[in-house]
Amino acid sequence: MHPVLREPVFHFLVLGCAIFAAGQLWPHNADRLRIEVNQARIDGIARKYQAQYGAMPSPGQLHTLVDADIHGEILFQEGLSMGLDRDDEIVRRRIIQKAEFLLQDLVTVNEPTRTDIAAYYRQHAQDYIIPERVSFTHVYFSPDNGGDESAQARARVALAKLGQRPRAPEAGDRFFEGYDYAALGRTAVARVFGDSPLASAVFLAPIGRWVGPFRSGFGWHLVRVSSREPARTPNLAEIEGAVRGDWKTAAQARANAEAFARVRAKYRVIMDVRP
Amino acid sequence: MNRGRLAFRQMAMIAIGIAFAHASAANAAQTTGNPLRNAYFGDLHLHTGLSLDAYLGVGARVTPDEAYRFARGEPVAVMGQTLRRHWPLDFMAVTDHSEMMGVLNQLDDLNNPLSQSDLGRQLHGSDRQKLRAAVAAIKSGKVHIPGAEAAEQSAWQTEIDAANGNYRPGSFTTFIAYEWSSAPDNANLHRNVIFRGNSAPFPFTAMDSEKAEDLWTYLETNRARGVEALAIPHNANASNGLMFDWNDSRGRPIDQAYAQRRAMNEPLLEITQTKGQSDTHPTLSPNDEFSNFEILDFMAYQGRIPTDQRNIHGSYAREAYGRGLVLANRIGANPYKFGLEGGTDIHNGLSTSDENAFDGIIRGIDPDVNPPSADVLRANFNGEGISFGGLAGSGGLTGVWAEQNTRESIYDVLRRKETFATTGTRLHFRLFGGWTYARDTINRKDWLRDAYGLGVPMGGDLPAKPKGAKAPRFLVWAVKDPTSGNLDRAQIVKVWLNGDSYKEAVFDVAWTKGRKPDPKTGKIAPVGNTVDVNTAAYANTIGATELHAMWQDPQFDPKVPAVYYLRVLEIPTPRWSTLLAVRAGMPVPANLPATIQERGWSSPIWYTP
Repeated sequence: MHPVLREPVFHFLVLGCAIFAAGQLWPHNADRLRIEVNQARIDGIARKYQAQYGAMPSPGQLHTLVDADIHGEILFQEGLSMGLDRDDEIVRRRIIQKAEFLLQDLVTVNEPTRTDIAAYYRQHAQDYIIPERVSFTHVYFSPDNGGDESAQARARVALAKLGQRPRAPEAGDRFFEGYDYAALGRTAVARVFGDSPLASAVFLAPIGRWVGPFRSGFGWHLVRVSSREPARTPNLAEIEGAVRGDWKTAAQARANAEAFARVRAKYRVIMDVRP
Repeated sequence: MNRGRLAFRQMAMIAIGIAFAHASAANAAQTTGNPLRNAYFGDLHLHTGLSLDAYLGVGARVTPDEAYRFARGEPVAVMGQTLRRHWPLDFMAVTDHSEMMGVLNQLDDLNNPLSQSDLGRQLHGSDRQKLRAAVAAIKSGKVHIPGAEAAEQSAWQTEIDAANGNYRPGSFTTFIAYEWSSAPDNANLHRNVIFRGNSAPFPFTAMDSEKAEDLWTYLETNRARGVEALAIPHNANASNGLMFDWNDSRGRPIDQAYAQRRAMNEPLLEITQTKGQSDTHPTLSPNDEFSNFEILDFMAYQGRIPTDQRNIHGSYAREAYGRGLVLANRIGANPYKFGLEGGTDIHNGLSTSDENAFDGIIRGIDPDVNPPSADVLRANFNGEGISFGGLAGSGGLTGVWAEQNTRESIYDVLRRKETFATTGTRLHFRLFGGWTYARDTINRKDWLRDAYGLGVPMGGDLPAKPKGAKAPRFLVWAVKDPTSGNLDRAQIVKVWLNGDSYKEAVFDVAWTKGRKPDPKTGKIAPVGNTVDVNTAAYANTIGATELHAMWQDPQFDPKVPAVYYLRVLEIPTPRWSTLLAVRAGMPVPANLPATIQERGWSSPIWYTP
């Protein structure tokens, strides 16, 4: 044997080269990217299969499914490392959506108590008002009979003669829609007469007395209001279900806003814009 | 919110809604309504963000549910602005294009595979060339769109849910509906399909077939299974002569079977909407001094047929009534026996019909909130982008004479054609035909009872002529829209068979006092014009609030079939282009009419010897 072969330094060099070559040929496990497939993940895949088909997958089927999952995960990791998640509006919006769901899932709103509901109702009573309704009769004076001024003048003359009559269509001209209206809200009055002085007047006129003339989209009218049901705030008992729903919607919205405000506090927004 | 609880709450709300709807329907069923019928106004033609062209072209994102809520007067938030229809409608049908319905909207829904596909990214991206290529590919129908079928199914369910969820029997009626968008060689043959009930099968689309006969087969098949629906053509004015052709879709002369199927499946025509009117054209009706009105005979989004190649014949209702009589004489059935309705065809989900609530680009606006700026108007008037150069008009409306405001009642009106169309105004009018009306019937307090009892309303057939009768008599009555211009005149348009052709005449039958027929032409002089173009103001110092007349046909020949329909004109008022230009402080466009005479058309009454 050549004396050199017995040199420890030589042994060291050879071993070193061998280890280096082996390291080149068989990359160490520690350097490879890890995809962890644990029992929980496999169970999850099996459950999804069961949900779809009603039975657990066979070992062979499960093997295929897990392989497909690993396949997907590998491509997902590759995509991430290539930066495919950046500069992509779809991905960005998907993440925003998920983050929003997560954030909102952390916030839970309790069932309201009776006191909560009552307090909410007091604060928002105007949202539940049943609007004012009016019942009236009218006499119509058409501008087609001698013009607008004449119609107004004829109405004034007629007014003096109406006295206590409960209705008096024949004192004026024929009106296509009839003469008597029951329990109409503001929109319903405007639907017939247009958004006009008459449509406002019936909500201001005294009860049981002929007044006018008022202009509508059609001409001049004398009106006699027989009754007005004032706008009414219903009892809480009548609409408790609706109020409960609204309380919860409002409480959830408030809780969501607070949750976002807490996250928002972590950021400082710098506006870099042209003046 | 916890999503499980949210879902539960939605289910609970739906259950309550269904219970409520059932209760209301039961209440409504107990009453039969007004036997002398009320006028209700609605729109049977509107697109939301679920229509492909509305989504891409107009950027519409309004949902069918929001569209219905807007139509019934609720405020709707659109891109941060709260918009409201100032005068709510009585009924509404959202009619999204069935071709690719809701498919592109899945771009907004990130769970859909389309969002992740290359096509999706092209549509999403800012590269306009790629975008255009993607749209062209979709329109060709040759490209596979991921998730298209599922998206269409889901969109159709959205339409059904929105229609059912917004139905308020007695106050607001909705219809499940869609638009079949056939346009061979850029000729518009579109039809809106309106369903009667609260469920509907998946639409038959123009990608299934561009032939109307095939659409009728779909309707007939459904009908045999108890699903009732009808189809309403529109924009015959842009059909290049195909809407009322002598021939069927395969180019063969119309036969009796075709005529009967068409009359059965298509009882109405949408005669007016944002893209012009289809009553008549000055070329066809040279003696009608009101025929040159809102003429628009091309579809900007489909590419234009050159002007000198556009076929005016076969594109208008009045001529179609004449051709119908000719065909009935030849083959024993009349394919063109349709009534009239009006729509908006607005493409941003906001159905508006007021003259000041339209921006010229088939979009509805809230004039108090988002009137277009001078820049937007200038681009629009100059014909840039998808505008019509200011030629498009504000939306039309459908009037119905119905016992009550329910689906059943209004649908039955559409079937019996007791309908009328307006250019968006709510003037309303009645027309009755009979043989025995007295001269003063119309002046009586209870004239309506006789009107119905002794004759037929608009949309009907004159009963057989009694022995002693000389000529049919018509009762005509009209009242103005309380928020619009006074009435100028009421006219009866008569179309009658003349050998193997037809003739038409327009008779003034009621007008404001003080005007006399011209001794030579027999025509009533123009009503005048109070519009100040500089301020876009007008005054109701001319015209009438109400017009009525009993008219007897002076040229009646009992051997000759004839069609009679009513046209009612308002006094001139400022056109939307004038209103918005003045509001934006810019000059009123010189190439557009500064004023228009808003108008309405009734369904005809037919006389058959």
